[in-house]
Amino acid sequence: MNLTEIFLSGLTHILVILSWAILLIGLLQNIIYIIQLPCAWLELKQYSQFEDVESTWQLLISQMAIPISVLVPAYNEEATIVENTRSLLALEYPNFEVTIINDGSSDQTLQELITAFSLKPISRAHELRLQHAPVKQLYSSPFFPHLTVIDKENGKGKADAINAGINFSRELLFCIIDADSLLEPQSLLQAVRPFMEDPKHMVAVGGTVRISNGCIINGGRVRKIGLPKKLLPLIQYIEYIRAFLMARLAWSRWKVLTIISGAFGIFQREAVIKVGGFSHNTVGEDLEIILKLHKELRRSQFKYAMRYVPEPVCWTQAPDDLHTLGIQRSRWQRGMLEGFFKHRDMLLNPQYGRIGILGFSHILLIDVLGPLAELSGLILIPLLWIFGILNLHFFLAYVALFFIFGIFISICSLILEEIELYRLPKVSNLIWLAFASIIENFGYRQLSNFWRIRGWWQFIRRKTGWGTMVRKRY
Amino acid sequence: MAVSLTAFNNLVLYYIWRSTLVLVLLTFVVLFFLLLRKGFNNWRQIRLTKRRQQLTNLLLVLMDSALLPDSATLKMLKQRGDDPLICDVAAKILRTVRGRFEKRIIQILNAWNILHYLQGVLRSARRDKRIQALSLLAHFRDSESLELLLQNVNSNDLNIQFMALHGLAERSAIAYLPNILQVLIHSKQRNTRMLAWVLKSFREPAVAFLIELAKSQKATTEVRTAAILALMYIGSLAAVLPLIELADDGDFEIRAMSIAALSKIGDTRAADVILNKLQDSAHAVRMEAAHAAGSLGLQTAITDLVYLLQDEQWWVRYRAAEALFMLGGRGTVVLRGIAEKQGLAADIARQLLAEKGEKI
Repeated sequence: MNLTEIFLSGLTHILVILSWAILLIGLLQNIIYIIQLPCAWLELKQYSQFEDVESTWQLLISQMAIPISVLVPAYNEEATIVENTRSLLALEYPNFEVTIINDGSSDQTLQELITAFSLKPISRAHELRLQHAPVKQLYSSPFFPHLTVIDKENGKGKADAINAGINFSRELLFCIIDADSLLEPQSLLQAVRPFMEDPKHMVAVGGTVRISNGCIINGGRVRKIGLPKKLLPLIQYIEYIRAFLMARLAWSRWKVLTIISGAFGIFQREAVIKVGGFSHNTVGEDLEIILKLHKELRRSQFKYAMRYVPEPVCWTQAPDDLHTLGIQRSRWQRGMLEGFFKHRDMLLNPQYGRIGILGFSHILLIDVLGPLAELSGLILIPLLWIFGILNLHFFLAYVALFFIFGIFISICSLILEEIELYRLPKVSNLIWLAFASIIENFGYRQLSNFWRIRGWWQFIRRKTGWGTMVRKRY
Repeated sequence: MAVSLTAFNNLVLYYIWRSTLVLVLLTFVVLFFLLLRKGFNNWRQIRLTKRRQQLTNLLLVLMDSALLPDSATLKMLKQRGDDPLICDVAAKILRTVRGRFEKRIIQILNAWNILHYLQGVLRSARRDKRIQALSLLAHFRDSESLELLLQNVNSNDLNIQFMALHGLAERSAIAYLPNILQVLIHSKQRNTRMLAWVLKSFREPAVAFLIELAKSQKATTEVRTAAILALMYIGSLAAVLPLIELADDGDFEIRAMSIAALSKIGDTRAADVILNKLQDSAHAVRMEAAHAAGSLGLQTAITDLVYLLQDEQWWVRYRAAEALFMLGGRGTVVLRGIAEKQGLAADIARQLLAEKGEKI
């Protein structure tokens, strides 16, 4: 055997081992999904508020709901800010205030608000417990006493704006909502229930985020639920259902929730202040704050709880072009990696209980290694099969794990949605989503992994900033 | 240069792709049946919506009519399978009507034998349906429905327990307060605010019971706090002395809530205890005491309030400054004087005055 043959033989063996590792990652990912499914279903059955209109009604009329500050960080949101603020002011909740934080917008966001709500400068006593860029002025409206606008200098990120909002808020709880998102009228009433039922221990509750493309929206409210007309948002619709209805519900049941969406979450103010508020040096502040809460509360041996509630829905616009979607997904990946590596000491660390063992392993497997394994597998395994190094069973197992199994998970999430929440009004909606569930695995999923690899690259190169997201009027 | 896989490896790989295909196939079969079900449900929904509207109109007309048709005629108006719809419609109407209208709706429900249906729901239905059934039972007036409410007060599901208590409160079931007391003493109910809301619905006759519950050392802090909160909302003067006693409780949450309740009731007999609690070891108590001193206009508290302007807790400092402002006259003058100095006290004084629109 000459040197070339030895080299080729060695290389082949390495590639085969790598292929097995890729297959193993895929298998483990799918086993997690299979375990998550029944757990998500059980959680949904146990805590479902669907059709429990009576309890929601009693909470509304009792005036006893815990007061909430709704914080809306806004940067260059002139297109949607006024309508969205109006919709927030019309939420069905007995005690709440809406605080818009204008994070040094370079467009007319502040002016639009001043004109629409006749804002006047005010002063409010507050404690500077969290650091943020200087506040220029506070405004309130004589016609909308529950509305406050904080005009501050740009703090280079959403976290800075949220921290300013937390400092000025006075309620026990605060809710974060993206400025381009719409809340359903009873969302706060539904999301606050875990806090009402366990006020001492509940520190964070997340709601569902759904895609508003294709819905009929009028006066800042979703009047009729519909599916996106374009393929790209349609695929994202099924992605959101899968992420929220399956993964988060299951993690919520196992008490290892590692993320509450930055688009809609409620937090206990004091707990967030104690961990130093939202971190500035990440674009994944929603994941990072949850990891930080877990870390600090576990360290202090405080008995705490976090929950995901599927019923309250926040509607958000999904990007409908590849360029914007790519920027978003790369940023999400970067944010996730920043959070993971910042708190890497929690990985498999028994001090942090199941969040260290289960939660972090899950992030490692699905989000950190997942895209690397998928994309390298996409290139490697077909090549090895074509060259006859791997047999047909290996290739088929790869296709099954990385292409076909995705269909199974998506369809199961859809079934979960249909048997427990009945959100989709038409039979055709289900058929279209089933169609999207199939085709997303052939092209879109691989593209998404490419964006995530780009996120990896940006993370390695320590890229900062959010990138530009184009907002459209509803 | 093919790599030979063992037979076991091949078997594993074979089962992976085969089982994945089977799983996908199965989900599509389930989805197919769900699509059929959805199609059927959507078709049925059209009929149900129509029937619901008919029942709503019928109940609204009967509710407001001078005379109610006899029992036999009423029975003829009801169709098979109407029970869940009737409950939905009646629950919605009963949210907004009371007095003779409420009585009339219950008369109709009785004629339709809805109580029998509700019994079945409470035995075996989903939680949301049981909650709705209990909310309906709150409007009935017979002993059988009362018994159903009492049975559910013992439920392990705290939402069901809460709704049963709410029903009993709505029916002013004062005679059952001793039973309820025993249940609540052993309850794990943590929803303090909603429990307080229910308890206050028993109104003035429940004050003695609420005092007993608040004083009970066997009950959890949450339940005791709810009892004090209910006393606060009822606002009975009979609660003042027991609340003064509770302001010295070993649990700081009970002390804080008692001070808050005394402040809301507004009886000057509480002045001494409030002054005393301005120096409590728990900041939550100091904060409530400062607020109470301001709202009761306790001029004798000025020295202590000034001291609290340097408290380590921001909310205590803020409430103390606010109390000084509320006291007016000397309090405001003192606050202005402090605002001109430096330090923690001056900072909060300046912030408070600016918030109140006062020029410093």
